[in-house]
Amino acid sequence: MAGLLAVTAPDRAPAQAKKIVYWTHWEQNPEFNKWYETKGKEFAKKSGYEVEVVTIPYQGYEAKYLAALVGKSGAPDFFNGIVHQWCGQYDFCDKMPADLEKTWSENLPKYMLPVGQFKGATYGIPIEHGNFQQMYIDVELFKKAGLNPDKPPKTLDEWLAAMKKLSVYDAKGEPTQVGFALRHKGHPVGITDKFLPFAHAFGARMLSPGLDRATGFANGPEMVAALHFYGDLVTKDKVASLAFGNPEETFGQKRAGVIFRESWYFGWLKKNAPDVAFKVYALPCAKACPGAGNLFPWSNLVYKNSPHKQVVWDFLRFISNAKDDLEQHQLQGILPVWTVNLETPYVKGRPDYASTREMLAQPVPPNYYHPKSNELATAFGEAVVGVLYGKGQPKPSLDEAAARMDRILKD
Amino acid sequence: MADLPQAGGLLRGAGARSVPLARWLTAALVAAGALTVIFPFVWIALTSLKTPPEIQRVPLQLAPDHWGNLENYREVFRRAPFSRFLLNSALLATVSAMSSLVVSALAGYGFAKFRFPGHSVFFFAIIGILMVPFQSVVVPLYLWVSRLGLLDTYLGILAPDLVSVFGVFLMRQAIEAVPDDYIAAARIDGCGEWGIFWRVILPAVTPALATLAIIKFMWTWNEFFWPLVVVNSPSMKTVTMGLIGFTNMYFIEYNLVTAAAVLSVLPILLIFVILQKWVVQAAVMTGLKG
Repeated sequence: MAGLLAVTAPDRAPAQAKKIVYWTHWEQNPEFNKWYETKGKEFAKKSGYEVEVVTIPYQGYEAKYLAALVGKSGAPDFFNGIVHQWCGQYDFCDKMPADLEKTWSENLPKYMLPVGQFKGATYGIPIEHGNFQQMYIDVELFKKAGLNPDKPPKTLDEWLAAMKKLSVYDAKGEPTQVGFALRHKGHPVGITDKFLPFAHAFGARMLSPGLDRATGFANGPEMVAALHFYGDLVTKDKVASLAFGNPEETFGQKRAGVIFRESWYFGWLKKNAPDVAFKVYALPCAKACPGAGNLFPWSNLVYKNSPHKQVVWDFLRFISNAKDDLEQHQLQGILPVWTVNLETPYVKGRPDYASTREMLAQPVPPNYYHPKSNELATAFGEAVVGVLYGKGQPKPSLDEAAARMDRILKD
Repeated sequence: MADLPQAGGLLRGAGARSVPLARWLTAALVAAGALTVIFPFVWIALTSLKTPPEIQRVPLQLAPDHWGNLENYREVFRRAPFSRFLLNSALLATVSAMSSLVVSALAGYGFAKFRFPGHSVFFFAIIGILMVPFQSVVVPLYLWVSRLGLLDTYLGILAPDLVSVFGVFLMRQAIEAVPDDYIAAARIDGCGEWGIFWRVILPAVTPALATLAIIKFMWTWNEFFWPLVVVNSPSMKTVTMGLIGFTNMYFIEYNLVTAAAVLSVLPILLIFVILQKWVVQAAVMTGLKG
């Protein structure tokens, strides 16, 4: 047994190799992650430190991060995480040096400025652009429904009319093809995330601007109207169906004419549903435009108890430039972060170029970067699910959710 | 009276017909149950032979377009050192099962056949550990393993799995059923305590040992959370970590996850086929269900 244990011992790096360790749960982006190691070799020539990337499965990554960061042992020197969670709810992050903060604040699109910040202090370097929903349409289904795929609906009223034309029903009146692939299953946080563009289009917001109150916002008249509209898509207008599975697959199976999803989705479509001809547009507006916003602001954070934190900041400084930003994101086929890179040939050649531009030009929607954002979005999402499944009416469901959210904020 | 034999004949006839009918019904129910259990495995195996667009196709179809399409299996091994994951899991599950057998058999023997001060208290304290959710002890356990320098090592992964509380309970129940007269007879014949344990007790509880071996092997094989917490190196990952690697924050790669699932189920199936005779015996003997 000892022999077997010895034979199967893990591959260890030579003892003399100095490394800074990076943890990430972005398994979907292996080339993006590997780039840190490649760049680390270049960095090692002047610092003596290479970069080791540890990719952690998304399912359960929080538990692993927490155990290591609390234990201060076997922990990463820097990691991919959400600022308000790891720096706000927990106090694990080192503040960004002023020069680096200046570099990033001057080079990010405006909606991304708060991504690396918590309570006015800057901790994280945003790494994901395009993490906001856009409208994907199925060109063939649009044409079949007598709609022009080059003239997408611009307002929610136009959009609803288009969804009705795209929906096809059987003899019993149940949809066999829907206008909109709606997310109705899974974690309530995901449900909230998918509903928020509608809420923001109605001029609603989930929390007060100071992020200290839900009542009056999560259950405000705009939010109630938005949830009425959203629930009606399933129950009254029947342009979305609970009988269909997850929305990505429904759209990929040509059973829905429209889906709202982030920029990663067209890569999935090309691989899983190559015969779907699609176009990407900005989300429709109502009282307001949904704009570029997200619930999951991923950024690179430096562990404050790392013995190598200065080396890590040096490394991050080393890669904080437009050229590296473009190179790293292009390798993986995702949108770069720096504003200047949004007009490069690579980005201009992407199917989401025009829609990204349009959405970035819209006013920045509210953000909910609160340490308890997961709990808050869970409470809110449960109300949305209840309405979609006909278990409650929008107003009382949102009243209950707002009260719960206030208790969470108070605790 | 003349009708009686006819009536009896009718009854007998009905009985004669009802017996095969009952058998057919039972067989049909068992077959339906078996199909229900087997179908997901068949579906997984067939899906592992499909391309992503085939999987997404509507209406869903059971059979793959090309039965010989093993590209997903190749991709699983290309994407990650999956054979290494299988080896790691096999090693960890084997050591964990063996260690649990030794400790559980000894402890079970002690609790079943010896009376000592605090006997019941100790036993229920051990059983009480079953009630503690593992998640609640992860951080202290992590700190302990980390301070011993066992992070990212086989011993670190094995630490919570070397002893099985369930095993202690199972073996105590099994050994209690061994008649005390056998032990007394062995003692009279001059057998020492080790001799009794080795020559009398263990042979009498072979089915329970086999059951524990397969259950513990399966539990360790399927374990995900603890290895996730203590493992960093790709070469130390287990099968479950490899499997979950095909599910990311945005989507599931069904073609790859099913291929990996087929690979990960095969060793468990093999172990079960080898030990199934004893497992059934033990299930009957100990009243285990499910």
